[in-house]
Amino acid sequence: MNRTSNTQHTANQVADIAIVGAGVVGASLAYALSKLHCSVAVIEKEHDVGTAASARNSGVIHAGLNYAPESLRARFCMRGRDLLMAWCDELNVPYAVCGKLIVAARNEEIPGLERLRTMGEANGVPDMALIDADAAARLQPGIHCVAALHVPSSGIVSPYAFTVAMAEEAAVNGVTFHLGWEAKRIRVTENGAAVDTPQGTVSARWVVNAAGIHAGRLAQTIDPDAPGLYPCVGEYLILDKQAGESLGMSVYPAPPVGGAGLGVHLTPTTEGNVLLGPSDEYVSDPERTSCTGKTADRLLAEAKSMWPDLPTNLVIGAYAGIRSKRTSPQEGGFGDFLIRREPGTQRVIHLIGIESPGLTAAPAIAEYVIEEILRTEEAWEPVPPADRVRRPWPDRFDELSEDEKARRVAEDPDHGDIICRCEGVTKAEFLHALGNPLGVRTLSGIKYRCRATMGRCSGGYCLPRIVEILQDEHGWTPEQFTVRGPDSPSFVGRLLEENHE
Amino acid sequence: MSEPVCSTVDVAVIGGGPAGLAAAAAAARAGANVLLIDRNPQLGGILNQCIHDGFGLHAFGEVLTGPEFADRYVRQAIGAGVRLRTRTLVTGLSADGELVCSRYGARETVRAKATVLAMGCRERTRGMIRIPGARPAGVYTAGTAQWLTNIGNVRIGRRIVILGSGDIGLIMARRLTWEGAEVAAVIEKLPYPSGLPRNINQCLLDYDIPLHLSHSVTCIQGRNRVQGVTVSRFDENGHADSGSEFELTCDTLLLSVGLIPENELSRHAGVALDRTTSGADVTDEYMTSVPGVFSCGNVLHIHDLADWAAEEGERAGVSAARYADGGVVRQLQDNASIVVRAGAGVRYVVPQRIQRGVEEVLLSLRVTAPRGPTTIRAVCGNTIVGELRLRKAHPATMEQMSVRTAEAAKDLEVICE
Repeated sequence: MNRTSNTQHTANQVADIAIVGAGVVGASLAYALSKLHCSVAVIEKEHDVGTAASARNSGVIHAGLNYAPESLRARFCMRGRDLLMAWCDELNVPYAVCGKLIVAARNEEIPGLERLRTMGEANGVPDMALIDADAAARLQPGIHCVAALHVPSSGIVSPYAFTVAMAEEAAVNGVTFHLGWEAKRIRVTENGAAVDTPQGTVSARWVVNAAGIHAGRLAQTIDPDAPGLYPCVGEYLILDKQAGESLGMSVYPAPPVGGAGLGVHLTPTTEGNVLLGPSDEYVSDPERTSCTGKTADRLLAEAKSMWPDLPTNLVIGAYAGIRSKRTSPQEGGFGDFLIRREPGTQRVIHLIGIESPGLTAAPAIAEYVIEEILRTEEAWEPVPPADRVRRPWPDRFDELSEDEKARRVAEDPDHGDIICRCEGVTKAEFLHALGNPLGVRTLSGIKYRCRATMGRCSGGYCLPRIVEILQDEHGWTPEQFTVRGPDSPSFVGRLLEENHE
Repeated sequence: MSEPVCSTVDVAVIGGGPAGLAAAAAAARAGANVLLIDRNPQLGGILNQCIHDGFGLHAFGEVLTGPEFADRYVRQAIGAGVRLRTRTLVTGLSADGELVCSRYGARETVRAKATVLAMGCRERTRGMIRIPGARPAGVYTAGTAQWLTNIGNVRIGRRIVILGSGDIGLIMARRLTWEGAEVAAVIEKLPYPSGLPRNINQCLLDYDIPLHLSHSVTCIQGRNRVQGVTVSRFDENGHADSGSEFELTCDTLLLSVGLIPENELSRHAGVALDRTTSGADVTDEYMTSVPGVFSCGNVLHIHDLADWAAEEGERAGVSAARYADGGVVRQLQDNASIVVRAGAGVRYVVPQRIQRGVEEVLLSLRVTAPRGPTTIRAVCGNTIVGELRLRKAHPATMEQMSVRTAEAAKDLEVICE
């Protein structure tokens, strides 16, 4: 059966290292650890990896100019961007070093750009240039500003593709993923520590708490002095690929003083859409991913001030993500990442406040944590590359050359059957996504893996095709269709059977 | 590696709904060698999921269901010798008539002397109208819900709220009621319904389903599955009245908030689009700005009846056959054509250009707002070249009028009086 197998109750699991949270940080750790001879278990309360802040951000590979020199954010950002691009190459995950412009709307904002440049230089960011409005408009036509800081080393990556690709390759190399397991507490044991969930307990020699917005609260279950976190929501709008044709690089405003974010910016995605956002609003609900109409209007207004020709009629969607902030609403600004060893056994490592640039920094955080652990665990030898199983992120069929498309159709006839017209997704791509080694069978999971239902029609065309394939060819019942897991059923039953009763 | 198959035809028709089927049949009857390409296994397009009746009154003087109506045109197309290629998606179209087609096991190129665009439309989505709130399961566009119910055989929900009073939403209100679901309300932001009056009567009033005009959904509740919606009253300027909110409990929200011509393929071929219709700018022969590329049906402008889409398809098909045969099909040239403009009270007019010297042309149009007794006039300077008197006019109803343009020297304006 195709029911998710990841929610089965398994009383007690043992591993060398348990990671709580399968966001980009947890997935980076799992991926890096899968290259060593050790047993790894990942505990994730959602029914897929990378569903929270890791999927709900700008998808920017940060250059490293927004962080105080010597801070962990600066250090892990600079190291992380190199690792991230190297790992993307290993995993075939698309990214682009497209550069970014930080624009000054008024002359008074130019000193702010100069301060950023100074900080960037101290952090080792290469080739930045303060340019005038004409030069900015040559780099990105249509941009309105008085001056801009051009940062050519800034880039973009698909954040969920990166997270999913790392997790899937970790899984085929032996990492166990307990999806749908919600860590309630961490406790010290004789040999290390254990993570308790209603679904089962994982005991390990080491526990890494990479629970994102929940990391503070979870840390406090074992370490009462660990700091808490303040959820701060960032809402985004998604624009049609038609808009992406006219945006070649990210465009940021001069950073708002004391703001909780970097300001509303425009970012192209690796798939060709445009993202617009985020807002910054402290909220009480750490899982508030709903959007508000007022914020959407504000995002459009702010983006239009930088890009007056912004095609507002091309908005096709919205989403919101939660920042894990260490600074309270009163303090504002940014705190630094906190990597905290549980004071007793030292075998629990909490990663707290991994907000921006968390995506860029994640591989470097993973590298650092593993180095710390290897000071004790000398026996974890590297797995020879030849022994590793590969699960590269698939090429997007729609982006291949016509010759290559013909070749792949000849290889697998299902590549000729295009099930999603907006994104040009083939049935073969859909089936590859469906067969993911994490056992994720949710519609959202399929969407993030192959982009079916992610385009401008939001599934108007491909949802019926998907339902048809899964019901007719894979024997799914209506109850098996869910958006994000058992709690979000797509349908409530079958029609005809009920009539015949 | 398989060699790409390449074939050459007189007329290629993209899309096998009512407009495409009728265009293909008409082009074949006019003597053209016609290939009809459709992405679905079964021809008929959206008609296949429209199991309700009401089709064919104008075209056949009979009341037919969607599949029956489609079947008439499939038979016409087959009878006229149209070659059919189903389960095939056209992924590329170039300005010189080269179509890239993809199907199970094959990608192939078709060269056509003339191409008829009949890809239909898609539904506006939640993202486009930016409904705030959470992102739970249970939000569907009405047309997708129609497929899921009538073909997918799944029960989409138990208590339904429908946003938008478009025809598909109204049809689904009745359909889901028949299937035992409770339709709590239909919510429409405008002060008048956007669906046909007959559907308001037969689908809502007959089943006591409340219709809230001048209201819209301002928030969706439910983290995992829809738990309810917030509804607010809107004034005539489109602003929500604060304090007017009320909650409706439901597990499903259907959206019937408009249709958009599906012109991505046309755009890539360089076809100029009309900003109001989102369809192509066409001549009186339904030729787009790209010579040899014609457009008809819902990809040209949204029709309220399949009968009209099919009729328009026939006219476009005849033109395409004539073009393929080397016949004179007039091009869209600014200096040689009469530009048709939507004037006071008129939202749009199709076709947008008429060749000078053409005797008589049929215009399709919609008014901007509901009105009582109305005269729609087509004027060239001071000359009235066409007139349509209506007992009442409604934006939901497409109107058609004939204009005499043989003597027209100036551009033409269509106005509502």
